[in-house]
Amino acid sequence: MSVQTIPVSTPASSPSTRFLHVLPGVLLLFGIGLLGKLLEHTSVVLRTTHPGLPFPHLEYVLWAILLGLAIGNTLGVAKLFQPGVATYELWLKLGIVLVGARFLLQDILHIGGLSLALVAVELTLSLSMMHLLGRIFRLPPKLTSLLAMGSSICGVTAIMAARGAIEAEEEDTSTAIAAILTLGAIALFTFPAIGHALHMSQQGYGMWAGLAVDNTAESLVTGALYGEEAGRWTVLAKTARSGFIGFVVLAYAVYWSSRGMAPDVEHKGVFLWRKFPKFILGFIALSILATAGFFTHSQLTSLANLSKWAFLPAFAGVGLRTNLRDLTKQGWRPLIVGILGEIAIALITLALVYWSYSHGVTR
Amino acid sequence: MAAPQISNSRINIDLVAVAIALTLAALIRFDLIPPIGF
Repeated sequence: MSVQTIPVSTPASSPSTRFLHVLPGVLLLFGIGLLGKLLEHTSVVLRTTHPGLPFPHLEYVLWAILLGLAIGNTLGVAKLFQPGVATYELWLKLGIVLVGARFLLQDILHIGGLSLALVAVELTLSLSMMHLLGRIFRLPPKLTSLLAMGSSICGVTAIMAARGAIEAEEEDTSTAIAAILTLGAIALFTFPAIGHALHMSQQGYGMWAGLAVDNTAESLVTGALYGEEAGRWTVLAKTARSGFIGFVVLAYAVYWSSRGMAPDVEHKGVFLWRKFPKFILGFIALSILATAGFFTHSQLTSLANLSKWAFLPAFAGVGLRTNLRDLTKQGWRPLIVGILGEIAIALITLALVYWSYSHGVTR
Repeated sequence: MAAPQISNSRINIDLVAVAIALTLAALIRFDLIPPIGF
């Protein structure tokens, strides 16, 4: 599976030209997202007025992804729309930062601290697991590194951050991203079913989705599909996990550099700061403001709704950029390694969450 | 296969997202925009 090439920098020179350059794609993202919202509303109305007919109940977030997938894999994304579609990452991070206002700082310190501890365990186990599988299935070593980073931290972002640092081959990068995106799409359907089957709490499930699903967008949707509260906890767990990205990428960069297969990392502090996902600072800033009573209850509701509006185009973008037609073009071995690794990581994180909650972790 | 080019401007995207979020939060806090529904 390949990922569409989405240029961020544009040849446009003035802000107005740049705005016009991204406008079609942004409108497409919002159009798909709004259509998803409309379909959710319509299905609710139809199920009420025609209780005998089997209309599916799908959340708007899933509709947005499915519509994006359908369009991206049938019509494709025309060049006109690509710069705007690339802004999905901005909408995603805007939504995450705004969700920060829904958390009290003590929640972040308590559960975020737990997340950090669980992430540390998860990182160790999942990195080891992916390297073992990569060796068994004889994947190229750098592809194994990319898969390990993508599956242990935060999916595509980690792979992209590592690509230059370890001088990975372009094909390895695309293959790793393909596997991560595909597995994320599978999680959208399997995780909520497993959560319901196990009668998981909103918080426990949210933590699990944040710890186990790799790519940020898919992780947040997987959490939100279980419930609004679960979605919030997924954001927190996933954000804590993203905080590790710099350290893991740095470790791999140093490793490959020591083998003479990547450039030296001279200023490790600067490297860490560059790789650190700075939107986390905004998330914490809004949480501090909310904890300090800066917002009224109705203002907090407005901020929560704003985050939903930001997620709408973000999730449409996730569907649009996942190209299922190319799934097998890279061969099956990376995908098999990814699937086996992800199953192991899902089970490990599920056990970690269960263990934590059975040992006194409460809200 | 073309590699994606989505994260080269990562720092900018993060900071832009934070700036937009804080601006919106300020607008809401000081009632400069009406309540937002979904």
